[in-house]
Amino acid sequence: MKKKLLACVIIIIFGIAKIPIESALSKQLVEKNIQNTAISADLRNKLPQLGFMASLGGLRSLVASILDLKAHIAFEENDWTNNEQLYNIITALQPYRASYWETGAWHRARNARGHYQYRSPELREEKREALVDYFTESGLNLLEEGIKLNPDSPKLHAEMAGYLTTLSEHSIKKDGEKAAYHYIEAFRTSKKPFYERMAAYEWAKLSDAEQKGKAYEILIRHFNLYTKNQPNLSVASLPQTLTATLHKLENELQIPEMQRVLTTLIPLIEKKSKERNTPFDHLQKNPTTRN
Amino acid sequence: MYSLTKIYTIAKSTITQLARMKVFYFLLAFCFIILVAGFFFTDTQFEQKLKFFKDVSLGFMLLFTVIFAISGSALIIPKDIEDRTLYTILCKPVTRLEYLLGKFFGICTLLFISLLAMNILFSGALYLKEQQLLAPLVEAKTQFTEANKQSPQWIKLTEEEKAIQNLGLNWNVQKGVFSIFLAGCILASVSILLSTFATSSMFTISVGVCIFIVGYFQALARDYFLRGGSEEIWGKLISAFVTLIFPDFKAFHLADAAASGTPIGNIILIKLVGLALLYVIIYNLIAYLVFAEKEL
Repeated sequence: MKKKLLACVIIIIFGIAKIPIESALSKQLVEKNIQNTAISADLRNKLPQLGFMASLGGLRSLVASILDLKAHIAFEENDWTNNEQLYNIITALQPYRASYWETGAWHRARNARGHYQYRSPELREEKREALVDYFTESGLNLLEEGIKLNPDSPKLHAEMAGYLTTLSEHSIKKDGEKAAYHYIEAFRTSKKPFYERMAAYEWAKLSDAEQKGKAYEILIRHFNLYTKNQPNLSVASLPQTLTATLHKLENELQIPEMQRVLTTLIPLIEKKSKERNTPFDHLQKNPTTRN
Repeated sequence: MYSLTKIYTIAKSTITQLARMKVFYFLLAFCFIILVAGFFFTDTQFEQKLKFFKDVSLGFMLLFTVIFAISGSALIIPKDIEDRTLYTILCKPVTRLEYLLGKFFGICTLLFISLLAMNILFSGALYLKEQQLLAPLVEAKTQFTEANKQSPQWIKLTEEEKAIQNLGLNWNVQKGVFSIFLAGCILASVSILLSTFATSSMFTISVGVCIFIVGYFQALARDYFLRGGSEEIWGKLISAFVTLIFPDFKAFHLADAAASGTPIGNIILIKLVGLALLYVIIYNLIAYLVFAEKEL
């Protein structure tokens, strides 16, 4: 009997002693996105009973994967409402998995929008436009929510910037400034110069001189880096968008002729390229050509 | 004096005993699951394919481990009593603690072997799947010259390649599998504790399953218990009971992070090993205290 009593005492003492250890570990696991926060009451109502039990029993990721497949089937069947609902659940189950936010937004803002815009002639014009607007906005809202939860995901920032520069239907307007912000965030989180260059291209399109100045600064840096790292540099090998945007900015910012990078560098490059018999004409003939 | 040789001998006989129950036939079922998860749903995106495959495989690894840990422990001790093997063992110079530890290590070894077998199958299939997805990207990248390695297409291909590698076979996946083993060991020690006072295997199995499920709620109960305020007294009492008695199985659930490609730090893993050791020592000690007074 004494030993059984001792066992009870040990259970209680151990139970008390383990509380701070378990709490600290749980906190750390959530902070590092290794584990998700508890299932909310709202999500509990959305999940089917079996899915709810499975996600509580440690199969949350599996439930999300199965629902993702169901959403894919809904996409193939053009069942956009179901697809939308499923992605609401999936992103709530796995909020730190950026690809779910990205795919959910893509289904809404590209596929559902495209479906109603081009492949639904049976719908009235107003209804079609309303649906196009609804799914585009819904896609952007989903992505926005995803970015709030995953601010360090370059993928989500780049996606958002991509939508903001390409979507321009009905109530949705292109927003170069916001797109540039997301490209800069994508650059900050990924350290990929490509995103910084994309931000500069967006700033270059805006009317504000300060933003144009920032764009010029970035593009000059990229141009210098590019020409420095190219062993077989020729004018034909220069990235067309970069050179054309720089050319445009030099004109718009009224950079003095002798300070213009293209003016000073191109003769040098041209000389080198002539030595290698590489033709040079695209810059002068068509300075605003983009890739 | 406790002898490691005696513990080793009992552990070895436990593995033989369990192997004779033809438990390894589950591998056939696991092969079938891998085949279905790996080669169906081929028209989905690469991330979906890899994540689904990992989710299903890791999910079933967890399921099989839980079944083995609970049923192995629940069947072995009552079977020893029923067959009267226990009396033969204990009338020799073998203490009850040595007997329990031998059983525990035997079950843990079986869990390790079965998880290793599943892991080899899973890792092999995952590697093949990863290579299958990487092959077209590697080929596409050979078309690029040095000059256009900053182009959006190149960046897209590189990002896709990295994403596949992140979701493919790496140490993160192995850490996820290891966390399943840790959970299995804790569950085995809990089931051994249960079987020291249980009257039937059915009781140990059903209570073991309940403990595993409630263990996933333990973190919720703990948060509720630690939260200030004097809400419902019964709620507080129940949450206190769950917090004190049950292990936190959710903490050992790294499989989701492993499937999603979220990096799992070594420090976290070390902390989990430490916590698992603590659970195992305490539950085995309590099992011994209960078993020591059991009238056989």
